[in-house]
Amino acid sequence: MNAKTFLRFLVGGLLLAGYYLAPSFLRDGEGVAPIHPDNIEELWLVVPGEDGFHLRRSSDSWELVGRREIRADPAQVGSFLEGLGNARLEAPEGAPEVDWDAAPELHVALRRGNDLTLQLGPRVRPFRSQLVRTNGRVHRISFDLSASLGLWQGDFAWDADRILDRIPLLNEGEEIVRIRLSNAFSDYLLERTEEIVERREDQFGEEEKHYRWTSGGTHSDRNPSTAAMYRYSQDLKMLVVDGVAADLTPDSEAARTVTFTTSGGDTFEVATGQPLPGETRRLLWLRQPSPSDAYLVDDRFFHRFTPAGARLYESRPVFVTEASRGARITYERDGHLLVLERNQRGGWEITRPRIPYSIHTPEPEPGTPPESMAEMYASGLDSIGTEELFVPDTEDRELLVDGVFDEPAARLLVEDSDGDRLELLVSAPVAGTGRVFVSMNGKIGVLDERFIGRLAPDIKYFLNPREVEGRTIEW
Amino acid sequence: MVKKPSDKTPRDLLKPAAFVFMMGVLLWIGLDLYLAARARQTIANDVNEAIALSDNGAYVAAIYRLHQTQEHRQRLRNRTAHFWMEKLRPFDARMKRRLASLHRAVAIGFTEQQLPALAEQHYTLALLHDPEITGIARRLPMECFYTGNYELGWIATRMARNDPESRIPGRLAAFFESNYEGPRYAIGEERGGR
Repeated sequence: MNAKTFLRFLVGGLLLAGYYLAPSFLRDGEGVAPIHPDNIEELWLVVPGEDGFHLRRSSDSWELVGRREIRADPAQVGSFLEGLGNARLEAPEGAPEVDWDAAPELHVALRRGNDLTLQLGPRVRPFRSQLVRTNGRVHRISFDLSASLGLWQGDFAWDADRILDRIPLLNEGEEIVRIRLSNAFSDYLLERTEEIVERREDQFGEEEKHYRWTSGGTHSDRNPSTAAMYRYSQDLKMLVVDGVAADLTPDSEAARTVTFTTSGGDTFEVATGQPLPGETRRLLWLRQPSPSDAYLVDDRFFHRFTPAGARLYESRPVFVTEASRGARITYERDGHLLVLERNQRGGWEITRPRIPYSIHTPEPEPGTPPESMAEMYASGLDSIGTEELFVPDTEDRELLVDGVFDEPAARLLVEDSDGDRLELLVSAPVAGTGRVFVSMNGKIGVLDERFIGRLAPDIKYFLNPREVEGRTIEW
Repeated sequence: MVKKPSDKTPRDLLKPAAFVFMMGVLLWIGLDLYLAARARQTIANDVNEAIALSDNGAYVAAIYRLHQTQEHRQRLRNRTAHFWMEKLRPFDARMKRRLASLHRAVAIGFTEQQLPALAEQHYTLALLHDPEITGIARRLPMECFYTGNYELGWIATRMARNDPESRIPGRLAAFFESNYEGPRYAIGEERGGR
């Protein structure tokens, strides 16, 4: 080998080695925190007196250890890792007094086994730097680690759910093409066609495509509403959970399930349980693509996610009473009886029980005529749309309706001036469903249980709240 | 006998081996730099697209893109070429500002949907990417009021005080001033002492 050849090999070799090795030397010289984010395998945070979290890297996400298919929020963990990887360690200014025993501890398990513990001290400049202690030495780190983990002071309590991925069904925004919504009363099988019925502009000027949907199974003779299905398929894309139900496991029997398929062919099956006692939240868990532990979901999102099935159709069965044209409305509820009768002036009065109050007429909205509480009640009774399309197509469903009107929760009687009568029976709530049955002339429907209070309200509903506040009225 | 150029075989052109090795090294490094440049472009496009989606109310798709961007950025950071390119043409700082805008756009979406915990989380991420981002200080205190995060609420009201474009209700500022009992940071310094 001559000298020229040797020199060429040497230059080539040095160039390659320098290209790959120099960054690690140069980085060390810049005082960067001695952790490369990609070497981190596990992270766990211990917060004195509070719940911490324990995360483990999986193939494409960070998962909460000890939980089934519950992920950490990628944006939050990503921001934390990036901040940690780029942060510089500097000497702190002065000698800060910090109670390190009360400081949250972040344990970092690295791939090569050199675990590290960082005690998170107070922030020095919010979003820019804070004090940390590692191996007994205090540093000022040029990143607000605590903010990236959601650790703050004040009355605010640390909540381990702050690291949780709270939108667990996130996908690229693919269209939803098939939905199956099931509950105790009915199964709704809805499929999107390629036919666009209407194009609209949303508030941002973007085009909304309203597709035609078809209904299968027992409701194949009904037409789904394109507008309602557009809204529902949007709602299905954005399920926001409140947290993980740490100590609660879901029953195998779900109150309602939703299964939907996206245009990309992904299928998700989500089951929801009963409301938790004394809460406005309930359990929700995934069955597909992988069974997960239970999340807690607020009722607001639950109702958006599992709406009343009948509301997804163009028309739903309606009970028409025309009560506002009637002459007398009687209802019984919980042993109470109330009779409303139209007087000679065309207004309504309570004739039973005898009470020293008249029916209240609230201050009308500007531009609208005054309306008494009885008129509002009667016009609300005029037509009652059902919430579910009940079909007793299985033995379980037949049993559901068996004998429910033997002891109704409410009984209503609407009579007109000719003496024609219309009777409405409302069943007690069907256990675990949040629904009641309603019957009129042999026709059966399903309503939300809150309808009991609307169909047969407390007597105070009709009276001036200022006059009856704090008073007990026998009725 | 000396070969004429027309007599040379491809094998002759690659001689000597050391020359080929050096060319190979240069090509390898060039390719690495080229791929890193392309990865930068992909990330920039992803972030721009996510911001556009978020501005148009498609928060779910924007967050999905954001997560994708996160993966791409991590892959880019692992490339040696990224280190050298940062020396020549910084990208991270510019991208951090864009990501801060993206988190702000997503957070505003969550504010509109009345999801204060998620809004607060994304406002915080925006500030972590770019502590000098504008348009947050006037929105964040109300979200902190709903979530009960007094420290962040107090910081945000102080930031709003230093930002002439931000006006927050005096009662809200007074609320955090009286309820937050933690350390009082010198927030004005973050904006050059304004």
